[in-house]
Amino acid sequence: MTTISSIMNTTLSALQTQEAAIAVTSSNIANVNTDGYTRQTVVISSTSSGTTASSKRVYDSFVIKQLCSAKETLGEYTAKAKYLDSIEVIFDESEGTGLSEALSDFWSAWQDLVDNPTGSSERSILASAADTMANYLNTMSSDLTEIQEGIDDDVVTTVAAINEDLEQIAALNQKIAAATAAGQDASTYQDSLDLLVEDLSSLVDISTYTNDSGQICIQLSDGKPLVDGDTCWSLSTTTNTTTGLKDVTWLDNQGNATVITATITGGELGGELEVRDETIVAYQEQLDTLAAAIIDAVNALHTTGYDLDGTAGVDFFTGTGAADIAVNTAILDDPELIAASSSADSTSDGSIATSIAELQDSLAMNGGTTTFGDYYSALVSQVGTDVATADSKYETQTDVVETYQNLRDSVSSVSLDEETTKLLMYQSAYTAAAKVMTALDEMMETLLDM
Amino acid sequence: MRVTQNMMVNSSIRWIQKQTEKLNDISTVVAAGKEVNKPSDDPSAAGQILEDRATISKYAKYIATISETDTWIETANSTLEAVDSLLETAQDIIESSGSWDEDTYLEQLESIYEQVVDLANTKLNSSYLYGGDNALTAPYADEVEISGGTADSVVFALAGSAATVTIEITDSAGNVVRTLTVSGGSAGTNTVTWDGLDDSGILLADGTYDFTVSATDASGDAVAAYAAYRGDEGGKEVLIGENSTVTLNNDGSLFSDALSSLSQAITALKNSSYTDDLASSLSDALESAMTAITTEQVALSNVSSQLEVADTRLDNLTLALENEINTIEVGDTTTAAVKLEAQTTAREVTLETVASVLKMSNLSDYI
Repeated sequence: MTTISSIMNTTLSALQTQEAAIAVTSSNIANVNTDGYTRQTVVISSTSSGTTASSKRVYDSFVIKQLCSAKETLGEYTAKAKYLDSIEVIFDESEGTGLSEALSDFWSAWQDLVDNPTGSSERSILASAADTMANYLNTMSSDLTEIQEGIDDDVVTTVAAINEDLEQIAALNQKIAAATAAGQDASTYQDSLDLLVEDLSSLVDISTYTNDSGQICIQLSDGKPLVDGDTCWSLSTTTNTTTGLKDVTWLDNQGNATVITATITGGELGGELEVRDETIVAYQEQLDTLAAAIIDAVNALHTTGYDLDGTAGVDFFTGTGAADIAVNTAILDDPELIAASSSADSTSDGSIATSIAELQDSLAMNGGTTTFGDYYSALVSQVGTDVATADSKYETQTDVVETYQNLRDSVSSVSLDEETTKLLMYQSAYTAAAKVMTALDEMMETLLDM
Repeated sequence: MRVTQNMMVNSSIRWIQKQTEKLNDISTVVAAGKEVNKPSDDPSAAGQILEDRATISKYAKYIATISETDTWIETANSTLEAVDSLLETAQDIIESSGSWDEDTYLEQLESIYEQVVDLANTKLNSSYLYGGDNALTAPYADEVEISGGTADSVVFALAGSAATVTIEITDSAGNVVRTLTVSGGSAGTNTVTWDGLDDSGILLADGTYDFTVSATDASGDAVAAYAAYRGDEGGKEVLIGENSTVTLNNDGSLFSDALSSLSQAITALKNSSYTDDLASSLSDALESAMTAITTEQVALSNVSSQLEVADTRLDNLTLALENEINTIEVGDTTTAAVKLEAQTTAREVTLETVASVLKMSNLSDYI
């Protein structure tokens, strides 16, 4: 049987429900600009004694997964574009200065010697042109090494950032489990967790799944666990004895390290490792090939010649690659040792100088298809292409992330107009319930006055 | 799709960034005056520009070499011309032997001999023009060097075979320090070793010593001696293009026959053994020496015109490459300026749009 007091109870639940709904709306409005905030909707349901309100995060796990994977790729390209941009500076010859010009000067100096094989100024100019050219190769090689070492430091920093994320994720997992068990709202923790996973994705390639307790579990791409519930593993680095660079390792429960450098392919860490271990190494190799070919070709001819005193020619260059190519110090000290002549008796014969000067047009590189100059130009072109590709991939990926971010926001971010509308709706429902309460009060008074 | 204020703000920021970035790229092109400012701007163009620049600098080197070679040829030509006219004078003197005053002519021929030696020793850029591959040694000089306590051999030439040869070595003051006498000498270049000692057996100081040679044959008649050519065949190679060289003849033995003839005339005059037969044979020998010189001049002029062709070709190639670099590196500045204008406008439009989006009123403004 319906009584006034039971109606009053129903009306009370209506007032409380609208209040709770307004609380959710106000929380949404308050967090309109909060990064990673997921809006909540009010779910109002009827009960035997009136209504009740609960809140729910508005969330699309597919979009979040896509966003994470897009961020992983973006992280990789961000790292690549950043490092390649600084590598490009090393190969920048736009002002007409650089190795290319130094090479031209070097060959020109040999030609000068052909014109006047005994000239002491021609010999000094040649020695210093060769020295300049060798220095350019040394500098380029050491600049590349410097960038490589810089990236190596960044790898350590990135690994530390990954470990920090892993610890926080495990800690949040624990809080979520506790809150869920206690029947409390865990949505704040969920928001933070989503942000952390997004951040972790941009650092390294991972796969994630949610377990039965609503906790996020994380694995490396090769299946090694990083977070399982409230347990977390960590990554570390160790110096590779061959390369002197840092290897990334995964530490198991006992703290045993397994090297996983090769399996990391995505995220910032993947980008760093690729530029450090592949891109830079490839450029170094090409510079070394160029330097070694110049050393071999020039020395091979030079040692068959005779210097100004009729003594057999010494090695013109020392060293084996771009890092250590140098003009023989004996020649730098005494340019008369330059062996321009093909005969011990003919000091002013310049035929060895001629042969060396003609090396600039010889197809000495790439198995006899390319000149030294063109080989280097091709390397510069390749660096340019790599940089342009990295930049454009970065641009494209930024748009992709933007798209997923928009999709996520479309589902999860707060719209003020929407919240205002709902606020008005809940407010009028509250007013109506209050009116009912007033009517009940008057009814009660009427009853008492009888 | 559900759109929230946040999304609009984020998009606005992104669009402003994009437009500003584009504006920055275009303004760099306009300000730098070049479309390719770093390799990634246009990788293939950057490679092409480098190759072209290297080629231009190579061509510039060839062009410089050609101009230096032109100088060499001019010097050689004027040397040969001077020798030619000297030999002509000598020929006139020898042919007019019937009516001459021996002393005057002897003096003139000796002077001509000296001048031809000087000309044969012409230097360009501190090296001897006609020394073959021994450009640091005077091609014709009756001198011998002691360095580090070791003496070079004495090198001289004879017009015919000799029974006795006497070599007097003098120091810088003109004193005879050593007299070497050797038996037997052949026509052409002869080499006599010298220990560097003076007549009293003391090693002489390092330096250059002059010498004079006198020779007699079996019947005691004087044999003409003259300066021997101390260079070699040589051949001056000049790079004037990719794998293209010209070789200039710098073999100073060209002058040997003339010097031999002049020396024979001088020796005959000195010893009063001058005959009409000798005069006519010497005149013929001088004639053929002059012909050799003329032939050499023709060869030089051939090389010279070859160089001219190469020079013109290199100039044209350089110009073509510079144009190519201009086209790919600099690009079309007018287009770039127009693009800059368009991009500035595009950015302004974006800013206006963003401003009006941000000023957009909320539902709460109307409640």
